[in-house]
Amino acid sequence: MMTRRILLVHDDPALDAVEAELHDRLPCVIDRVESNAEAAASLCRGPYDLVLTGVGGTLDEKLSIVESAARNCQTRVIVLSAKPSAMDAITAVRTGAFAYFSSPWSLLSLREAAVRAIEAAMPLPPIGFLSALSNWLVIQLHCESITIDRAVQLLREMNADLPASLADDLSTACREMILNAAEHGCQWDHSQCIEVIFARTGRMAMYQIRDSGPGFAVKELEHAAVGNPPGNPLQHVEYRVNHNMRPGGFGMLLARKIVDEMLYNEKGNEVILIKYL
Amino acid sequence: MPNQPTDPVKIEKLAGSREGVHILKVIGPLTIYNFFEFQDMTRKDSSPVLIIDLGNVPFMDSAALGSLLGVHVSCEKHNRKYAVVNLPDRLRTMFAMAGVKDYLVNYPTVADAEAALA
Repeated sequence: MMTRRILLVHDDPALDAVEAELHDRLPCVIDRVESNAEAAASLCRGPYDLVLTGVGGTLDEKLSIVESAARNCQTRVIVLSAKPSAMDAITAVRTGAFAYFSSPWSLLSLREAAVRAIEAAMPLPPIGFLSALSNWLVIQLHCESITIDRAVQLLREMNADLPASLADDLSTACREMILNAAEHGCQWDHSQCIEVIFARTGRMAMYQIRDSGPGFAVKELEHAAVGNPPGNPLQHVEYRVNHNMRPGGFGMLLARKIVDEMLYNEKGNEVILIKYL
Repeated sequence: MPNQPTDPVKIEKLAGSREGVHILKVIGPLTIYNFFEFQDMTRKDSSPVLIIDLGNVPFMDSAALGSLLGVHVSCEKHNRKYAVVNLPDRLRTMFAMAGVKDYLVNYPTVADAEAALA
């Protein structure tokens, strides 16, 4: 793996841990600056593979970095923030940031997003925003792993006000359903799109995930853990081995355990997940 | 899965403190994008005791969980021992939700697993 250049706006002691993790994880040179303004200026002087903004400062300062990075076409930006803000997360990703992480973040997740960002081919495939409200977000994703990962992190930030374990669980449920849409609905065809609707009220979080595929028979579930008889959580594992299917089959079960309502449409290419808060 | 880039997961193969113990240390998310590498390494490993360190795995998905259960099934079939160790809370919760928590052999640390299995 080649040595990568990372620019870190080090305006908070918490970023020491991020810096250390990145050094452990991949060969990289990390240049430190103290402010977002300094970072924007540094981008004019030399190319970086990745910029991590400061946790402090305004969103506008951070968007300036994203816009500067977009001009040199090689630099990915992860926007960090001291406080969660769903609207800021939407604005940052819509402007072209690779991802948005608000504190307190999972150090491992942030580290891995940085690695993923660095490895991502540029320019990043776009995410389409059909509604960009924090309580009614509608996004269209091309069926690509990098786009799905970016969307899942954005959706994670929509719930950053919830307890971390609940937000992580909802992220898991949503990710599994999007991956099902990508694999079974779209056959990983990059030209196909998945639409994700996220709605939040004071009492619920709702996801609606729709793909353009032929759907599936929701009752035929021998290959999935959700179809296992009570007391035998591994029965579908044997079925999948016997039918030469890849390992897995836990996605629907996990989603069903996490959310309160899970509904499929008649065709089987659209699912709604509802979690009461 | 054509056209999908490999997620940058890193899997380090380490020797245990005793002969016959192999440790696979997984670093990065273990997912549908990269579980084949993990599956290959576990299938090729024929050590009497295999310890899988998941302490650096921020999350895992359904496909990766399936491949982990493949290790469980294979080890039972071939009378070999294995354990997963250093489970982050998020994975522990996932295993419980999937109903497989009590099937997967799990110890807090590599040392605990070695002491129990080797």
